[in-house]
Amino acid sequence: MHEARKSACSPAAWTFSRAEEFWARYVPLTPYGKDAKEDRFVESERVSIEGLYDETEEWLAFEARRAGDPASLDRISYHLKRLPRLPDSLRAAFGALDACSRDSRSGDDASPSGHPSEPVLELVEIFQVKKFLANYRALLELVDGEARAAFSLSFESRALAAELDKGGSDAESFFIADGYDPTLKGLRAAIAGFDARIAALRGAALERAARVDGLDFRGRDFLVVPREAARAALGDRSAYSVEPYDSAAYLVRPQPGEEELAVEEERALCLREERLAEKNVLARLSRLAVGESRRLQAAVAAIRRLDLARARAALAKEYRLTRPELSDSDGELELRGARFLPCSWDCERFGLAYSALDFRLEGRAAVLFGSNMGGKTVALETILFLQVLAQAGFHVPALGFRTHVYPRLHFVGELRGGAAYRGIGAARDGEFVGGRGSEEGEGGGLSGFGFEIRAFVEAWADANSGALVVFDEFARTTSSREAEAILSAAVEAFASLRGSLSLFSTHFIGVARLPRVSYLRMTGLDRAAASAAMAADEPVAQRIRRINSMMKYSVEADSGQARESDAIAIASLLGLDRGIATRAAHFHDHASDGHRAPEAKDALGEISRDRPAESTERKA
Amino acid sequence: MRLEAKDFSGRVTFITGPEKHCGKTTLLNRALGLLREAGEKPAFLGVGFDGECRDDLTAARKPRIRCEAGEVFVTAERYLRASACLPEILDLLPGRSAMGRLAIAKARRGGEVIIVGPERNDLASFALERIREEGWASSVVVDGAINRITQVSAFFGARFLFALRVGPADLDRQAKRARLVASLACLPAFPRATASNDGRGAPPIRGSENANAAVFHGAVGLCGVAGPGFPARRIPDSEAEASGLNAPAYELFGPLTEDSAARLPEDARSLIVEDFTKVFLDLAALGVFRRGKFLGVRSSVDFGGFVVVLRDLSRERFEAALGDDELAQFVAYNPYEAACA
Repeated sequence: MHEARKSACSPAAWTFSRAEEFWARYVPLTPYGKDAKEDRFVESERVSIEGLYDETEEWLAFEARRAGDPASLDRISYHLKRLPRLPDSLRAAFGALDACSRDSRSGDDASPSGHPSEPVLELVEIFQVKKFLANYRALLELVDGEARAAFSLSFESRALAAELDKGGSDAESFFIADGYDPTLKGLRAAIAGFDARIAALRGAALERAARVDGLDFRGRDFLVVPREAARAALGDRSAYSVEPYDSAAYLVRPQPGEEELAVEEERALCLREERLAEKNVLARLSRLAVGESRRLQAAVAAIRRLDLARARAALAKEYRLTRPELSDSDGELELRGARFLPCSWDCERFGLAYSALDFRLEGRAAVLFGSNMGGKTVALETILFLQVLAQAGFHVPALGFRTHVYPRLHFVGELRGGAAYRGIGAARDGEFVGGRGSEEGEGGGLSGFGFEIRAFVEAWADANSGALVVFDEFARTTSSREAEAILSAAVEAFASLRGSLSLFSTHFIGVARLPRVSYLRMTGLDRAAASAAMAADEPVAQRIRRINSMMKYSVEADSGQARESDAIAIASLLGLDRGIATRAAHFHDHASDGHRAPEAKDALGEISRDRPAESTERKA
Repeated sequence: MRLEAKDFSGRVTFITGPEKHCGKTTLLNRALGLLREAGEKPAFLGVGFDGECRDDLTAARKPRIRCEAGEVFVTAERYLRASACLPEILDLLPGRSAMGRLAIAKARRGGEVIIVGPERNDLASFALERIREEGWASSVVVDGAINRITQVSAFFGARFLFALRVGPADLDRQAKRARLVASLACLPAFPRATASNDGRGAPPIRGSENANAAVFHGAVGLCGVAGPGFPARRIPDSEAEASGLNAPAYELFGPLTEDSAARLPEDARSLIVEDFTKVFLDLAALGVFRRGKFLGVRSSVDFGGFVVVLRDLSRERFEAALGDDELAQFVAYNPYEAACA
């Protein structure tokens, strides 16, 4: 059961990957499917994951076989939506019955039948069982043999269904019908007879009230009568009960006569007997349902699988998802044409172009360099997004995705919107805390750096037994020299771990170059396009929008050679004062490490202009 | 105005009122009686638990609810087996109430029932949709919660009746209350010009748990209305003028209270709120507000009128206190008065 297992994905990794935005579009229809959705469970076993992919494809194949009959698919959705949750008491009662049977087999002094004499299910619970069976049966009639076999769908509770079908005016509704007990029919006929007599007596009394006393009670069980008009009622207290209403009127009710009271008494006796008979019926039906509990639980499991497969397949079709390829070897990661859907939705809303990602990595650690707005974070988000989906059993938005299954998925870094993930204690509770620096809780008083280190410690502990860990701008809040030292040590340590893969994005180009580590960079700003944008004398707001199109969101190997500063160029595009930008380029070129390319200054000279400073945030 | 079966036929009618013992359940029984006389098999439900025979606080006797064969009602599971009307369960409402699971049931024979309804508006709406969509009943009468007209807006197209009990001691207060309800219920409606809804809505804006709130706050940020967190937007002048609103016009996504009214920009000439149940101003404050600004609603709620039960008070005196002949047209008097028979 999912409840007993731990999801492979840490809450921080879930948040960073923006998987929730995809999850919101994942729509199971049954209560069981909805429960599973709420679990947000990310698998860590390759066999389980491949099983989920298989089921998605089984459903897609089934839909393809039904391409000529879309109405049948609608009817399947209809029945899935109507499937109710089986009553909890059914499982509890089954457990008790099972234990009782075991005791009986072991020779303990237990009831041979193990059946409770009281109904264990309420009327509404029997209704739930009936409605479940009605929709389950209808669903089975709509799927073919292949789909039934794929999802272990079978209808074996025929005797129970037939029994429940006796009670109800349609396939789903339920009441305790006469046919359940030979005494019920007679009792109900008697009650109907009493009802008819009472109605006749009341009718006669009301007719008399209208005719003789001028009191028309039709559709009302009392009247407010002016005092002067109530004299007749006051004079016949056997026919009416009269009480003061206000200073001008009485409240008058018809009183049942002696005969009516006698019939009521007989009716009440019959009702008591009827209730007893109904209780016996409920007890019998309860026993039947409890006896079927194992099969019903199997049906629930099958339905849950089908419902989730259908929901995953719907997403696969809508977003052109493909089946991930799971590799046995850790450190193998390849994305071709990978689409980070939340980002592509953002781009769509803002009218921006979205670039799919190609990424290939062999080894256990990679460092990804790149300038501000160059797409480092989005690249990491894309990788983690696909990994989370893949391990949650989904097909992924990519032309190809090859990866390994990791027992844990971690994220270390600052989350968007200033939210920080509080490390150790919070991670274990699965708790996410927005904001930072609160004095409450285990992490109270820690700085952003402190939180990062704590998250690191937790990721490190898990990485020993296998983890994919994504570091976004790790240690960026400390000095560059310290950060490069910490990063270098972290990269070295993670690269040595078998079964784990770590990806680091950073600005710090002084990170040590280590064996078994891939060094990559985002291609970054298209200088020619940037120059053209500046020359076009566009307003800053428009230029900001165009930065997206000036960026090459691709990943390439980083040679370690210095290159011109995208950051200064982007600052210029964003309206940084020309003089400041030029001086920044000068300082950059003459930085102590002496690795700066001489052409940087020229490039900057071309593109920087006097613009009012304006802050913004890259949306895509 | 006189209550007739056609006032309830083929629609959902909420009966609401300002306080306990204002006659809601008695009016429900009368509505059911009228529908039965017209040959209908109505459905009925309450909001919350209203099945006790006597009120906990006052020990006043509460009206019983008679159910006829074929009629549909909502109650808690514990009352189903005890009911003499041989209930057939048609569906369950999601979740549980304080009284246990709630079921929609059909009476297979006549008997008295205890109605227990959902506390939450969305669950009341669920029950109403099921009853209407499945064709279990076309006319539904809801014994609403006191002083919560908001529930009416939970079900699109519902009408509401406002039950008032009036005596000499509270004549002025109740007359003011009636004038306020009538003023609000008659606010002019300005539906959205375009409502694109593919069933999914726009993807949520990041950094907010509530996509709508984010949109609203974003809108506030854009138009600079009254500081952060104030859920309003300025309606583009062209849109306002096309709707017949005087610009600057604003739309408020939340309750209109004295506080939110004070936070509106001083130049605002028009304000649109979601519906009249979102207005929480008393009669005097509403009058002051409307002297300076035009007030309208996005969606109107169908108002069926007042059902007034007078005690120790003549109709003439009540209507004089009401002080509005037009408003008096919206008043039906105690349907149990023998003179009304």
